[in-house]
Amino acid sequence: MNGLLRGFRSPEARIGLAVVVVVLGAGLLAPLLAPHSPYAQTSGTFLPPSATHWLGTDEYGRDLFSRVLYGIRQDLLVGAVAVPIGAVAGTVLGLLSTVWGWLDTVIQRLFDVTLAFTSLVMGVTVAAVIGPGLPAVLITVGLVNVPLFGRLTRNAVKSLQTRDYVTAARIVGVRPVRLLFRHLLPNALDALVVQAALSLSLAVFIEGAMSFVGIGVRPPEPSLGSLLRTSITFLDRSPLYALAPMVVVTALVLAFNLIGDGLTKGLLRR
Amino acid sequence: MFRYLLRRLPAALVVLLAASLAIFFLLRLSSGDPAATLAGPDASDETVAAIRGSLGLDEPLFTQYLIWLRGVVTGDLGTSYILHAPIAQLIGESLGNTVLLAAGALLLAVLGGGVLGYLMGTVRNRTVQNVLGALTSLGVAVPTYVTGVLLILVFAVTYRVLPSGGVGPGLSDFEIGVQYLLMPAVALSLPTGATLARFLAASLRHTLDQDFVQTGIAKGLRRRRLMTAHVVPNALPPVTTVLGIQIGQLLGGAIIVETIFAWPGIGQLLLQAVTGRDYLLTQDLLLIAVAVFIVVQIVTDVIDAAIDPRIRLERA
Amino acid sequence: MTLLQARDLVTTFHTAGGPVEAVRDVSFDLDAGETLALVGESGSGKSVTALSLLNMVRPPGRIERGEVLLDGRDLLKLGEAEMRTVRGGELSMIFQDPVSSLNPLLKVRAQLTEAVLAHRRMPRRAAEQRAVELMTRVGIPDPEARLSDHPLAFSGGMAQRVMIAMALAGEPKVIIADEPTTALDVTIQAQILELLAELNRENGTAVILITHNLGIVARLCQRVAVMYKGEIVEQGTTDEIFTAPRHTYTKELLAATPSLRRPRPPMPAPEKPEPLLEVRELTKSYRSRGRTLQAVAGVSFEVGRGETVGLVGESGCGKSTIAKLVLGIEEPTSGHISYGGSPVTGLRGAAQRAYNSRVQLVFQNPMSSLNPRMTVGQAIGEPLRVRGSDTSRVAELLELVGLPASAAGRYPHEFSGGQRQRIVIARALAVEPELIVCDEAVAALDVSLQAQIIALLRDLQARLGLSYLFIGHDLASVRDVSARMLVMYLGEIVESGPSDEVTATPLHPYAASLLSSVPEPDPQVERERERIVLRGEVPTPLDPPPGCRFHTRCPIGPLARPGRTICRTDKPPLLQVSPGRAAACHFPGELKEDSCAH
Repeated sequence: MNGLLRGFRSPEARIGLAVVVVVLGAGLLAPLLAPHSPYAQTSGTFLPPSATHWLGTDEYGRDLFSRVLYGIRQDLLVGAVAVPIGAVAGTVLGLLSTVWGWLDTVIQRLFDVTLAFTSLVMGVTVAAVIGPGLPAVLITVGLVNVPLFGRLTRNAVKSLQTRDYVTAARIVGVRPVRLLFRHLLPNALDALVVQAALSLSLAVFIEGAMSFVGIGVRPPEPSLGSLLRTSITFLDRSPLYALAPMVVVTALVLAFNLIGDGLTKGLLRR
Repeated sequence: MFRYLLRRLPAALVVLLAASLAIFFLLRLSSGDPAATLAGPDASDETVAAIRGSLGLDEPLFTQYLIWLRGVVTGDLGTSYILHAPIAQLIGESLGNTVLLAAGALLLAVLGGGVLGYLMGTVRNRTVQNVLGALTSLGVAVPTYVTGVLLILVFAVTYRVLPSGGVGPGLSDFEIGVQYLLMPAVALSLPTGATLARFLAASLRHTLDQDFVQTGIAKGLRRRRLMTAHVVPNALPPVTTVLGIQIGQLLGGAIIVETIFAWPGIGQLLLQAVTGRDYLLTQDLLLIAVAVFIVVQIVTDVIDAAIDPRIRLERA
Repeated sequence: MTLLQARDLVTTFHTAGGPVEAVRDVSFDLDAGETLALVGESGSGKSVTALSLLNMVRPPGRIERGEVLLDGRDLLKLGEAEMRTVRGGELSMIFQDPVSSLNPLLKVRAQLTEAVLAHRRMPRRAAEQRAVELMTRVGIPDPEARLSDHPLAFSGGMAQRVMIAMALAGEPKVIIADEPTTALDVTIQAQILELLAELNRENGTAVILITHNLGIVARLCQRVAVMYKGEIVEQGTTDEIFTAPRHTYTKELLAATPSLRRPRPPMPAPEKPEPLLEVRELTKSYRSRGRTLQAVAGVSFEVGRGETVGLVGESGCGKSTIAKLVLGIEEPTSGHISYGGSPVTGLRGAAQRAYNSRVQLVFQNPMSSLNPRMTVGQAIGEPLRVRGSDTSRVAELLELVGLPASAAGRYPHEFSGGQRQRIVIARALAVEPELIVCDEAVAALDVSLQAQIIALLRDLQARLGLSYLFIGHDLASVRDVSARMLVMYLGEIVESGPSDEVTATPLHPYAASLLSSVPEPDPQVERERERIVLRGEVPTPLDPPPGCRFHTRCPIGPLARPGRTICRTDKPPLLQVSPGRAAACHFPGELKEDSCAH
């Protein structure tokens, strides 16, 4: 019966979840796991991997492994704060637009405007308004998610409203609030959960992209994107410098996508 | 068709207008006094006032907005104060490069994504399905900035067969120009191509399940006729919609790719404008980006309506 | 002479849950020019059998073994290229849903000519000419113009004619028709059946008709094969099967099939019932892009306490809109609805809820009328809970509709269609209503389940004193439950009266034609009766005809009797013709089923 549960048990979702737990867990526990401070500079620059520096050191002699671990934390923040806020805001707006027709028109146009700023163009816009930095990343990710969740919620609820069981509930005397929480939202949930997985993937991508082009997290603060940005100057000296954040960011994006795929599969198979 | 376009236009104009308002007012309200920024920290009040006057910053904000909008419509985009050049000229110089990059990427994406998607949607072999499925999910997921750097690492740093950046001679010297274009275009095309392939495959599978396909088989049609006349045309509309969104997002991707490969295009110009706090250049470029997205959406909607009579009638 | 033989055909679906044998050792013969019915309820394997004949079963289905011999040649051994010449050549097929069976993007011309060209080498021009002939052959008016239309411009009946034209393109020896009229209204069904019979008669085309409807079998087919759970359990001539069925399943099927000629069980018809629901001059219009669609156009009726009123009509006649208006789901454009003497239009909030405690609804599709995320107990308990009543009554309600109390803990998807409909009824009963509106409540069910649900409704009425407004398109099942019957056409009631009288001696020509269209599950009757087959289709409610709305199709109207201009100009009111019976016709009672052909 529960397609989501079946989806979470699919091989894709299992692999994705495993990767997400390992990577995000490592980021969460960075203060415990990291062998060095991510900011501590030493004279040993561009050291090759060794027992003390598992991934070697960077141009200031900082421990790369520690910097990558701490870099993951930025994505943790984006995923745990910006995505939920955007998702909730979008869902609420989507629900509101199913109530009144005129509000629907207004909100849909607003979504159209937001969508016209595709993810990175939105990032540039936000950075231009409030200046580059982690807050710009958080706001961008939040804003980008609003129309995604809003449209999804609106369309799901609109189509559910015409279902017989919703009509039936209404005429056995179920009031609007209970109707929403017992009949409409639970049945719209499937699509929202899949979108959440895809949104997390998008969030990691946007953080990386904004930091990479220099309008997100900025050095010396480590993030997967900012590490990659600095590393390309030293590609011929230290390929590992670039490879480490590349692998982690790809793993995260792919893992969230896999979870989304697995969930979709679970929901489709009836 | 034309009537369908006319019906779609008003909403698109409203969205564009709303976007221009958002861009203008958000940037103006946040960037403090552009004249002070421009004059520098040591400038006297008189200098700042003079600059303010010359830029029309004395006018009420809404009047400034109207002046800006009129400028955009008439092609008078103003002057960039960080690059000290007319913005129209700056855009003219970089637009060609970005168009070249985007066109190259789009060509690769449509060809590659089309072939892979068709195979994925029509070949029943499990191994083919699994391999193509894995490849395309990788293509969708791996961020452009990762593939770009990886390409440089392999082809420019390790094997030194392709230039690591720059635009080269462009298409005036085709052979060399293509060498410069190859890596950026590939990097930019991967997510688009992979997304296209996946949607095409899903749409083909869905279409193959439709009743009219059964009718076609029962009629005794050849497979080629069945695919070209019935399956593919019905599978296309959702794919063109997705392709439209993807094309609209190419500019975002171009910002990344241009950064990696030092490709002097619109994306680079936009980043320069933002980091240099050149509000006018930023405004103009953002508006262009949004307008391109909206226009592409309309074009794909019209194409869908041209293919499918139901869309034309549904919104009649 | 035997034309087509199926021999020990086995088709299996290899699903994730293990192999499912859809067709098990099916064998039958078809003579040239014969009409054979493959009868069975949903899931009996009849459609898969048809696809197996053409070797068109798609994965995960596979034909495991058996032979399909056409003129002695085993089709299952043919290569793909040879098989292609057979499909649409010697063996053609038409499907249940004609609208989705046509490519929506291609004009009908292209779809017809490609069918012609798939089997005959000829210039395109000639193929297009042939397409015109085929369209004419299947009775599509103005064929040349219609060829330039996309399928979405065709009604269901016309689309099915296009499908038949396409099936004829290769001049087939056999047409396999898979539930060809199930998606169509009964008057359109009669037209399509007539067309198939005519093709069989005049061209000698054999027909394999796949259907669940025994009436259609009796009307059209010479021989019958009855399928049950993938097997043919019985076959023989139509007369043998209907008069002396041997297999238990066949007997049950025949007994469950509603019939207009069989005496129906006694009906509680209170002498002078206390009026419960009163509907006066009800209209409902929908506006869409400057045009007005009048779904209900001035309807008056009442339902008395303890009474069952049947409301019958074809799709689009406005009967479901009436259900929504009565329940308060939609507001009428004008007119009055009162219940127990007080008006019930425009109710909101608590008043609406109080009203719905007395009037409930049972839907057509039991699959969609239960929330998939609530257990049966929660679904039935919800009306009780929102009223603050005792939810322990759930078990009692389940028992009332013939389900075990243990059902409460399970989810809707664990139940069959018939069981779900019982759950829906239990939920409606939870509010202890007086009147239940049943909107096509049995239409989605197989006939054996229909009979059970109808028996349940009748039983509940006797025990609880319920009243029903029973809305349906199937005259026989509506007659079986209702004491009085209202017949609707294009938003208006054209006839009302006691059900058995209306179905025996209809007064309105539309009611007469409708009755004549319903195939009777009795080959004897079907052979002897003269049928009124209505020409043309129901006009659009966007632009209803002036005067009598039925005059554009009426067999006794100005089309047949040019002098009767009154039908074009004056709307006939619904007037009492004899005690208890009314008809909205200038010439009521003139058309009797057996007195008039066409």
